[in-house]
Amino acid sequence: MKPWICLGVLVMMAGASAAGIPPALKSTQDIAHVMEIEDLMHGTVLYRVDFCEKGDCDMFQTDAAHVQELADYSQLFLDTHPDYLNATPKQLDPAAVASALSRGAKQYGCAPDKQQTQCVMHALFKAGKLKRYALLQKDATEYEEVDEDGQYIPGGYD
Amino acid sequence: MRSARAWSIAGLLVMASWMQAGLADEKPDTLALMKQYPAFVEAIRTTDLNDRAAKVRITLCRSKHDHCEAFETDAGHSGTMADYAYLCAVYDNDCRHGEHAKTKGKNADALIQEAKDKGYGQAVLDYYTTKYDCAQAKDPTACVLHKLYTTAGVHRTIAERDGHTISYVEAGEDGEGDPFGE
Repeated sequence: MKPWICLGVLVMMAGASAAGIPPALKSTQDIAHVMEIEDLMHGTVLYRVDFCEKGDCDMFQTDAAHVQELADYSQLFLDTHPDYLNATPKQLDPAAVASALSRGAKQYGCAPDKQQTQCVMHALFKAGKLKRYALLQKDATEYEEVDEDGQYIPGGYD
Repeated sequence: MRSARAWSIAGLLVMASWMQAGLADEKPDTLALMKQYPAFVEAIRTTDLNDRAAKVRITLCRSKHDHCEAFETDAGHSGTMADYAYLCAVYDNDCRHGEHAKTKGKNADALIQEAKDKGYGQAVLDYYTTKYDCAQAKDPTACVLHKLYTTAGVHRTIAERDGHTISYVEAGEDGEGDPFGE
């Protein structure tokens, strides 16, 4: 192959991968909408997973360094919030849920009891530096940061 | 043969750089200009990685704790919308945050001052006055803003911040619905 053709192919590959999905979040696309959020002022990139039904959403966001935690948390979130099951692009894969649970239990030392899933989810939320948002479509569109349990956070913006 | 190809590529590169330089002379890069004022301007591109749909939102804020003008369109029109937001900030009272607020947004004032002192605002305005044939209009600036608004398919809202909540209220082209507007 001519060198200039190689160069062209490399440039095309670089361009295509710039806005590509992180491998850890590929299976998350089956159960939610995965959003890439680029701050054009600062050049930073965040990832957000949106679970939506009838215009209202629960959304989880983190930076590029914590996408594995975001992916695993998303599997467990949907497994524990079946109200979103009818709105996912594909069906929830039990094997993916089991894999996320087992990986988290091992990593965070969560015992195999009734609280295991909650233990892993809580650990993932903290370790993954996740932020949770609620989007409500009322008279206006309301976008609110909430705590891990989806509850109102008192206080203002930084 | 190889030499001819190399010269052709070199020629194309030179032409491309001339064209880019020419365009840059005609119209400043408004997004780059606004990047210098991150306390006043926010610009976020959100790409849905499932269907590749991308949107850009540019927000002009009086202050972090106050309300903001938010403009949104699809990524394909983000450059035109950036020009609209810049001109809106410089020339339209409804977008001039900081002038009416109790706590003056120094960054907003600085952006407007720079646009006037260095002629950036006029250069962008002149470019679109010619492009959209607005020179003969009763209000050429309003004509340009309207053309940019419609061309970019801007969706304008007022973002009101209260605690950890942001409410986006539909505003329309003239900022109607802005409870703090003039």
